[in-house]
Amino acid sequence: MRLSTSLAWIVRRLAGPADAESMIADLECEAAEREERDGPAASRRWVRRQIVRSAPGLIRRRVDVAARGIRKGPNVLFRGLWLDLQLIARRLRRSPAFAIFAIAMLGLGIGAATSVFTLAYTIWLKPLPYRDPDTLVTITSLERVTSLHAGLSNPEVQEVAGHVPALAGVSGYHYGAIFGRFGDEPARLLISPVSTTLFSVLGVTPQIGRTFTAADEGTSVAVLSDGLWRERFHADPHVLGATVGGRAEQYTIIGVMPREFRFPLQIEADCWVPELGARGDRAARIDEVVARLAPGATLAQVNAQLTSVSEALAAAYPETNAHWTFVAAPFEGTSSPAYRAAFITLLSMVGLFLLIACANLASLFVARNLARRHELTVSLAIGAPRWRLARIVLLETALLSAAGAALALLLTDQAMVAFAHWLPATMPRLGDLRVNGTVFAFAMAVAACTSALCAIAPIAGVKSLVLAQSMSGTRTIGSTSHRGQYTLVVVEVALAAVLLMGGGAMVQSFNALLGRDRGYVPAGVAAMTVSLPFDDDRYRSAPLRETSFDRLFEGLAHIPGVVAAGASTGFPGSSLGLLGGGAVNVPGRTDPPVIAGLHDATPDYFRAMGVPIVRGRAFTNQDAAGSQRVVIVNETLAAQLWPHGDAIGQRFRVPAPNGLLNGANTDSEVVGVVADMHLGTRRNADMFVPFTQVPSFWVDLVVRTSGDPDAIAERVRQSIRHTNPDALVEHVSPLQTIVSNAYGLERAQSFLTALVAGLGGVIALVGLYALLNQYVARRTREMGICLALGSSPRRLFWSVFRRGLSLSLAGIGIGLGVALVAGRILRGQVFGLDLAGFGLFLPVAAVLVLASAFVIATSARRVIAIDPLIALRHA
Amino acid sequence: MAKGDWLGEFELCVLLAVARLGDDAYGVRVRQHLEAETGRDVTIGAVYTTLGRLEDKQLVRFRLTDPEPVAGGRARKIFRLTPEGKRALTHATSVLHRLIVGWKTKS
Repeated sequence: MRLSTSLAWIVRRLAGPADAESMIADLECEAAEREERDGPAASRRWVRRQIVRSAPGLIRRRVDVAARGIRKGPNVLFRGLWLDLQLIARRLRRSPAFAIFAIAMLGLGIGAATSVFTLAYTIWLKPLPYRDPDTLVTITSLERVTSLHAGLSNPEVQEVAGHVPALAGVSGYHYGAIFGRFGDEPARLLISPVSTTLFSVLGVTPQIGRTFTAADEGTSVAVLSDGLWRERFHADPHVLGATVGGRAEQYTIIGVMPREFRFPLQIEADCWVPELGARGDRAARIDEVVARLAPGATLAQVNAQLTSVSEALAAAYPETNAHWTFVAAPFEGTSSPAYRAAFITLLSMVGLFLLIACANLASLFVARNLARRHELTVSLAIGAPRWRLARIVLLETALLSAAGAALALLLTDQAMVAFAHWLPATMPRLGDLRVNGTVFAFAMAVAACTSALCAIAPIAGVKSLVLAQSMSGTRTIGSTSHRGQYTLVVVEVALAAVLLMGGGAMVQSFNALLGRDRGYVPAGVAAMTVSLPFDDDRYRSAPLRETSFDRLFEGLAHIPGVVAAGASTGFPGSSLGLLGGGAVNVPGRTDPPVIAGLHDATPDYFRAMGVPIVRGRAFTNQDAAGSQRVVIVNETLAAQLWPHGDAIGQRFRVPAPNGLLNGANTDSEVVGVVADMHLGTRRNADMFVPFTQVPSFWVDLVVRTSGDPDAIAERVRQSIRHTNPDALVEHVSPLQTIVSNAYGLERAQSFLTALVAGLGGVIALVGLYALLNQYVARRTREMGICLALGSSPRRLFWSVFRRGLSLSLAGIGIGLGVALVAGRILRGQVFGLDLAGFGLFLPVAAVLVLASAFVIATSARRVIAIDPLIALRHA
Repeated sequence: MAKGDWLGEFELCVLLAVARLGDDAYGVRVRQHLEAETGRDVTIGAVYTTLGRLEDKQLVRFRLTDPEPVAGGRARKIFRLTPEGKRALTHATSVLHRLIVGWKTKS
């Protein structure tokens, strides 16, 4: 019986070249005997057990042989390296505190850099999980006059696919939710209707079954995500042919995508279903589009052909396409400018933090060399070359860096677990945060660079050693080395000042972002989504849905602490999305239409959200189904549609998804104008119709309270359970949290930079403290003489204090100056980096000066405790 | 014998097995013989490690057989005692014998 290639490889590595072939032959011989006697399975088990149990002894033997070879062998280099390693191991064993401190410092510095790199790599740098992502493009509609971007309609997607030869494949997609059932348990599924070409455009294959073909267009089939397959179908390999969905809408499962597949990246779709193809409303630009360049095609060629298609459609369908053109751009995925800037900033900050740690350690190494100056001079005197002493320094830093890197990887692993829970779920690929080969390689590279950086100063000290002066004791290894230490500490404090300015600026900007006026007041509001089971035939009746929600609001009115309660489809930051939307124009107007989002709203919605009614009124109970159709617009839509007039009383046709608005040919009258509600800086055009006229299956419920939103949310949930047992309540959260999560990237950035800045400041102060302690220790004899001659301890104290403070002030001044210059250069390019004002300068300077003074005073106090007799005797 | 020349327990067992097996002293046969005679679970790695140490002490040497007459056939090591090995084995066993007799006499 032959050993497998892998087992033979292992045996060769364990046994070494001298014994490997013979050992393999012996194993094969006995394995053959056992196979005859006990069967092949038992024989294979025996072989594996033999190899595993032999491994420790064989490895020990190889180490012994190698060590013996190094000791006795003719290779001077390896012999010398072995001796140096033994020397370093002895030294570190004798000073465990230094070793632990150095490893901890390196672990912290390398760990911070590795953690941020892992975040950046996973969320930003990692190649998209699609074939050749560089050849993917997105296509949007561009309104020529307003430069507004929108999606494409289903028919437009088909027309682009058929008339742009520079594209090898085109797919439209959007996303929404359906009500599903798993057994008796209701659940809302995130569903993404896509073109049947999506998976071929992305170049991905399923792990089970198949993806869509052209024949699947418009049919009730679905491809599951790996997450839904594992969670709801228990990773059943025979899931094909089963169905997913609710009672009203069932999809037959034809495939399951791999675990790493996500599309779109911003949401975790539970399943993908085929779109309607060329059917659908030409004016409903709801589809986002991804396409792949044909071989050899360029983006410029695609855009030229898209322009031709746009012009042809404008001529054929002037009502919907006259003002629109199509534009292609590279598919960014998560490599958007916001992520790019954020991670470059974060990586720069941890780079500075790592430099502080390196400077700290370098200063410690220089101090150790100073303490060992006699040992070094004796080594030189008896013939040791300087390069050999320098090599010892480099090996020591390399060993400590390797140990620090191992600690760093452990810290990074834990940090990723924390980040996955702490970062908002809106950030993509959070489930992929882990230490992998790339992260390991990065940590090793950082450790190597750190080792070299830490070794520069002590090696320079060795090189500058002047033998005669050192032997005579008249001059130490270096006023050069002392100056080097002082320089290192000044650099540390300067870097810490830069970090603190950067971190402070980020935190300040994030707080300002949170406090910005958004048109509504999130404080004191509990939010949740409430869904009725649309797979239940009873709720197909709009009056029943309306009655259900009326009952819900009646129940809420009796809860103590509820100031106002309202509902809408799609408040800012909602996980549901909008009711719909589309192009809006007013009768007789020749201007390009305005793209506006459509929401429905209950009468008290705006009051609950704290949104001021700028003109007119909110909805009332009289705006019921069957009454005159009314609409409320926001300020942005009003300004775009009636820039010179009053919106109140104006009429226009509200674009709605097919069949959603009964009597869709009737215009709606504007009865109110509300302030814009938004999360970011961009203000969208929005319009609201009364909920009673469009009673949807699910709403975003908002409840304003005079007390704690979390407490009121629980009472609201219980009330709904009592009044509407069929309803599904999800995503319960204070609205303030939703707003905060919407700025997940900025929040992560400000938190991490503040953390790194704080740690950097602490490490820099530790370095300053250590330096001054060494300064006092080195000059103990001199100070003892001064005290014996009549100098006062207080005077010596102030002498040391002044020395330390001068170093600290030099570092703070340099650091703040660099920060201010950098802030001016980078202002506006990076979120939060606005350092121009003195608002931050003075607090940071004050904190650093006070903290430094405290640390310096603590060190300088040792002077007061000097006994002149002891100092003169022992120094 | 010098202090470093004393044999360990397992080294003695391996030497005895090699002496006993003669021309059949392949690593696998030594392992099987030791397992059968001692009732201990002996790994092939332990046998080769010990034979390596004995070789370092020049108590055993090996010769390579011709490769097996099949494609990719392997050569195997057959071990035998050197004269020093025989002397060391004789010394160790006679010392043990004296100690055992002394123990049995006393008990």
